[in-house]
Amino acid sequence: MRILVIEDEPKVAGAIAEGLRAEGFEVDSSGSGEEGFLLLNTERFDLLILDILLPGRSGLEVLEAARLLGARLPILVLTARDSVEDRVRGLELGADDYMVKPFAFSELLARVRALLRRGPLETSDFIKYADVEMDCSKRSCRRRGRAIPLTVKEYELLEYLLRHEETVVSREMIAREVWHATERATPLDNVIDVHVARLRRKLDEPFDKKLLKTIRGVGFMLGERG
Amino acid sequence: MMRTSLRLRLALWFTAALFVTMGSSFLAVYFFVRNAWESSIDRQLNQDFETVGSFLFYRPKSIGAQGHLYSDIMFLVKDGGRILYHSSAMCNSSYFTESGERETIPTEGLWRSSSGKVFALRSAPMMVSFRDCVATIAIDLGPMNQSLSSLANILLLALGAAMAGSVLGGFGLATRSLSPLGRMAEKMRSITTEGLSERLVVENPSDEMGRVAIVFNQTMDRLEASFTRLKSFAAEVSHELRTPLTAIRSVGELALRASMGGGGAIPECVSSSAEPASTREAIGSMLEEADRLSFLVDAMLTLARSDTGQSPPEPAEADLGALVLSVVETLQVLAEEKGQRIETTIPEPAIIGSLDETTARRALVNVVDNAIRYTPAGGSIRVILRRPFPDKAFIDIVDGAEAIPESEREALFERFHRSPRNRSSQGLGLGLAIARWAIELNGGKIAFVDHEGSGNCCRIELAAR
Repeated sequence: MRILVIEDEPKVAGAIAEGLRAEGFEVDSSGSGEEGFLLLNTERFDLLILDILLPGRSGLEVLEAARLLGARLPILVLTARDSVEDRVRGLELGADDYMVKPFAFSELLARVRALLRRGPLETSDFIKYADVEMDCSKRSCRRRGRAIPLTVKEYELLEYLLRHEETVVSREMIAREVWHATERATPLDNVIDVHVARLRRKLDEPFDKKLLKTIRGVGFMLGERG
Repeated sequence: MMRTSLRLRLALWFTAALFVTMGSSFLAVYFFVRNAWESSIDRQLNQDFETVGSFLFYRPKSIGAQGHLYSDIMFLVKDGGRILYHSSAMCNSSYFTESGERETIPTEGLWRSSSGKVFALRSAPMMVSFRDCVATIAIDLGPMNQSLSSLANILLLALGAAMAGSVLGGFGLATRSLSPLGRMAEKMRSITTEGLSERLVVENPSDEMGRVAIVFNQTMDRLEASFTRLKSFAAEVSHELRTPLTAIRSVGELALRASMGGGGAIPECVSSSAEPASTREAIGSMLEEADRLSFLVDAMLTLARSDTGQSPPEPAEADLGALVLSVVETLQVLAEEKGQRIETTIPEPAIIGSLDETTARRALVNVVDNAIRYTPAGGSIRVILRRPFPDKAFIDIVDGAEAIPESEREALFERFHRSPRNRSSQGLGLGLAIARWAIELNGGKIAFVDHEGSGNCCRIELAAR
């Protein structure tokens, strides 16, 4: 999978490119709208990550021109302005998704994967990771055959973590996907932390192998490694 | 109602001015006409003397038995106390018939008869048939007085009509000429409340209204320019702060991923040696601070935008009880961690409010979170929804914290407020400021109010349907 990153801030562009490369993507990056547009027209990409505020030709212009020329690839827009107008305008011009800076890289990765999959998330009724088994139809969870009693929110949180196994998920992602929050708020981050701590007590405490990990400064991850 | 009184005052001033000018000119007309009449009466009397003199001189023979003379001129001639002659006109006049003692009737000046007639009299010596006699001429002033009184009536009527007309017309005119001012005031209000981009329409740039409109428009231009600068400044700051924050987060996260060993290649911008756990901790701590910083940037932008007169969100009907319950349910775990209890009181039937749920929820979350934070462990918090008035709903959040002195209550809603009770906590000091912004955006009020019992009561007042 080949991804083009058009971003003028070299550190951000570098980090995105390296991070995506580390995840096995092929990444080209470009620091200006003109150069990026040229690349987009001359080579084939599977996904475009586009910063809105670029020197010279703005991201919105690139977006509009690309769509006018018939580019079909999914486009993820990055913006430092979280004004509604900017988002609406971006989506109107043909962006598939947008992210507001500053974003967590893990979230960017999740979005990129979702866009490339271009289908609904896996929604199988039965999820298994390591020795954890979850039956979504019964809303029950077992680890090593032993039933783990969970509250509704704990269950939803665990389901979300299981569906993103071995991926770091940020509090922002959890707030949006599990709590359906439309914007971030400090109290909600604390609420998430409490729920994670409780879930950990039920899921990990009785067992030797710890699965639910806190990645300080980033978020949480359900995985055996790390 | 300054406008109404101004209109009325203008109309009354018009009328008063008109009264003075018209009144004085009418008086002048009246006295001029009266003088003319009087001098003409005077001339008439002199003329009548001459006529009577020549008449008696030439035709003393035609005098009747009782000294009757046929003449239109009212006159009589006395010889000592005895009436020598009198004219037929005099004989028929009330002067003659009503004056009783003919010897005592006045012979000079004005005389008013008992029937109300007024006569001007004049007497002078006259030689009749070589005797010294006194002739008295009378002129009935009735026609003159009648004319004068009708003139006065006409003038008074005209004056009255003019006054009435001037009050009405002046009021109408004032209303008409002031109505642009009223429209301008309406427009100005809508400009200051709805948006700074609109301007007053200048109908006539050279009249008073036009000048006011021009000055107002210029003021608004300057105001809008500075607001635009402020807004773009906020946007600039947001961009300038978010970009480095993005770089910190991306680079930091990448370093963490690499050091965790699962991410594969280590990025060029990160040191290539494998990080020990302490480095990972350090990066994590920096990322946490970066996260805090981005919260702060978001909160500041929200408040900065609220300063520039953001338009309120589209309100929708929402069940306030459900909103309260869902907020309490979300934050419940925070209270549980501190061994606190949250009691929620929701009345039946449901109270429906008209609000933007996202912002209202944000306010409620901040206030309840605040209560949890300041209530000591093991304490209790009460959230009471009620409807004291048909069109108003109160959400009272009563915490178990130490009472805040009344003088400090308002300061809690200020930005970056750090009260002594707040210092140890890690809040940004923006929670209540944002809550106030959000509640006011929804047309409500929020304040700490007096209440019975311990703790503090934060009251959110919202419109109810």
